[in-house]
Amino acid sequence: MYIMSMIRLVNLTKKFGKTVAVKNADLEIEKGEFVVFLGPSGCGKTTTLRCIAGLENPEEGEIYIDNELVNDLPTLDRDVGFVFQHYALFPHMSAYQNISFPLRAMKHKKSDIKKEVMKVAELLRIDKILQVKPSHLSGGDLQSVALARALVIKPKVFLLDEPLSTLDAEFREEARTMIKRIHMEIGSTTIYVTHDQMEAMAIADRIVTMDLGEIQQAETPENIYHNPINMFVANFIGSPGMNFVDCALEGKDTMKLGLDGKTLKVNEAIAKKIHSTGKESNLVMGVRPEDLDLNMKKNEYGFPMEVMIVEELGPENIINLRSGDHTLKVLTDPHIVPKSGETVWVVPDQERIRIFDKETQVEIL
Amino acid sequence: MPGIKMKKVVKTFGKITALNEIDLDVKEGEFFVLVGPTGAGKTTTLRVVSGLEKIDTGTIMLGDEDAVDLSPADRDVAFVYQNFSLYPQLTVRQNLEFPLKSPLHREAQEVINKRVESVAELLHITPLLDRMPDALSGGEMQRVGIGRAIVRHPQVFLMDEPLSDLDAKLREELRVELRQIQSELKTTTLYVTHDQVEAMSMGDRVAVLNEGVIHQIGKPQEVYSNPADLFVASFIGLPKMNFFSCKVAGNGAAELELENGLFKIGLSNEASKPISKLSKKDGLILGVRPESVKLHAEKGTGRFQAEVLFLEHFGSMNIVNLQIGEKILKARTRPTYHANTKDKVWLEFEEDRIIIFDEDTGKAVPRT
Repeated sequence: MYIMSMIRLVNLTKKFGKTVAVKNADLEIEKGEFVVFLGPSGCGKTTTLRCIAGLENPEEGEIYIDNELVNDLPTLDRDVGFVFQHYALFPHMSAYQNISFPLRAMKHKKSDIKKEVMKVAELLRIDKILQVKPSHLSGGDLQSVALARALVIKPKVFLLDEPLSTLDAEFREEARTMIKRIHMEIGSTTIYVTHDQMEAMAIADRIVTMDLGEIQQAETPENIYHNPINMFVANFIGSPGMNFVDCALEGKDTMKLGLDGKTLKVNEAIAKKIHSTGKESNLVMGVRPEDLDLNMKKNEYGFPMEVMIVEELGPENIINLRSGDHTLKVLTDPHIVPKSGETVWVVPDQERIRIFDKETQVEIL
Repeated sequence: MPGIKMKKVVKTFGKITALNEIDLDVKEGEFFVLVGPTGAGKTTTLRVVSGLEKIDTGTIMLGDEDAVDLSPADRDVAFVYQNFSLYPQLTVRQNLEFPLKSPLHREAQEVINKRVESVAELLHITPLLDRMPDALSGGEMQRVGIGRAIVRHPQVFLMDEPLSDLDAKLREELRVELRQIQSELKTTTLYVTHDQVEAMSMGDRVAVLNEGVIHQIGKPQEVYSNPADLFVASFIGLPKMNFFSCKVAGNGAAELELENGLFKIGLSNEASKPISKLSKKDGLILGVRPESVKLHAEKGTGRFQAEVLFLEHFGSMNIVNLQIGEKILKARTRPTYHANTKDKVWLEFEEDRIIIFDEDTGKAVPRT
């Protein structure tokens, strides 16, 4: 039944003393899939990865790799390759010796080793630096050598723990493209851990968001962005994150907003949907910054706010608005530059409004 | 509030030249950002303005006053660091009062209370005033730290990466708050960061530094749209500007040959004029930002073919990674744009957004 899945976690739980690092995690990863574990520090993403690698023993649950239960298998027998944030290359060995190390340890033939190393070095475009020792290599090259060393054994599963987080922003973007390209060429099943949502969005086939040891949502970048399951995911994904405003449905098409008593007219479809959930108050409206339109004139499908700060970022602007202590962010094209202190009407794209239950923080529509 | 004027400031550490003839003119009340990679000289600039480092040669003026021989205490500047160390045994209120109780700035308790309360309100930390530092989150602690710098109304704020230890969401929030507070207090501010998004979003003006040299000073939009050289062009903007080796094909500059003949683009008279005036026809670099690369489904004049490598969905936009031969380039599109790997598309560069650089000097060719 699970023939297609390369990795399967069933009810995985890992504790450190009294702390539950991973709680009842269920997940299936398909062969060839590129999955990113995403969340803030302490969410359990690295612990989950380490359980799969065999570096941690879970208290409960099962881990399958290629349909084989691996809970009791040592790391070396799990057929996984991994790369960490700190590359842990051998400093006294050249890049070539580092990359060939696992093959030499497995006593492969010398001629085969050379062939395999050259192949992976060309793929990563480091064939020209193979004789160089780590101390003479740049951060980007070091990372490539570490990746090559993991790739050379052709593991069934490739595990990467924040591999780019020590690189400068400009190298990070290049290295990300390289990792994606390699994945497209060799198609190995990959799990990649990061706290950086931009990185996750850019690189993943599917993002598994985690918080407080629990998997929140596992979806494609587009789906997770547009249909977040709860307020945590909605806020964590996207830069700037989703705007939230307390709200309650009043009458047939009016929302009372937690913005100094302001109201917003909503279309009947939304009102009906909210009505059908049986919960009309104690709600939170969520709207992405790019789904808010700014009007200079009064608009009944909008509400007024004051322009606070305009951030001109180059290809786009972030307009920061306020009403009392509440602030909202609106993402616009670069030519839209309202003045500080000006009043504008904020008009949400009705199709894109999300409604959450304020208590449970879960999306209800 | 005084401005800050630096002229030909040189600072060396042994054989290393940290600042190489720095000229800066920070206006009264301005929010001025120094941005650059590690080792650019940003922090050293702050430290010489504060008086923590002595300069080798040059002049530094704070307002009308020559500051070179003033001690740090006499310069009336306040530092905000990346890692604030609050006094752990003092409450938030006591931490905020501390600078006002130093022998140099002793104030009446009434004045102190007023100042502390107004700063707390400004920074939204009024409910935290009676807490101890170990009961604060990272963001709250940073707010208190900023409050401690603000509370004694210094003439100049010197901020050294105050947000870089915070997580992404908090950074987004606090950069707006800091900007808001500064615009209310109108205190001249020199702000250091390695993060170009912070520089773009916060600065009235920015100076882009590298290896002790200022590459460009300007408003964020100027630096973004008209970078002075290759360093500025590639340091500012994410994803990075696309670069192609470039030579003028044939007479005039109506046609440019890119990446050794991999593809050609045509230019209108107006766009080609500044290039045609150049003495060199080869050894050029063409730069174009991802949002100025337009994608079309069909052939057309001025368009050339590329293959889709993969798409990156960021929610509010997509980045399309494209390939022409071995060359990879990026285009920024609306989030609704879709394409599959290996799809053929036709590209067009917005010609008024193209920038030509001299490969040898790195300098941009003026567009007029």
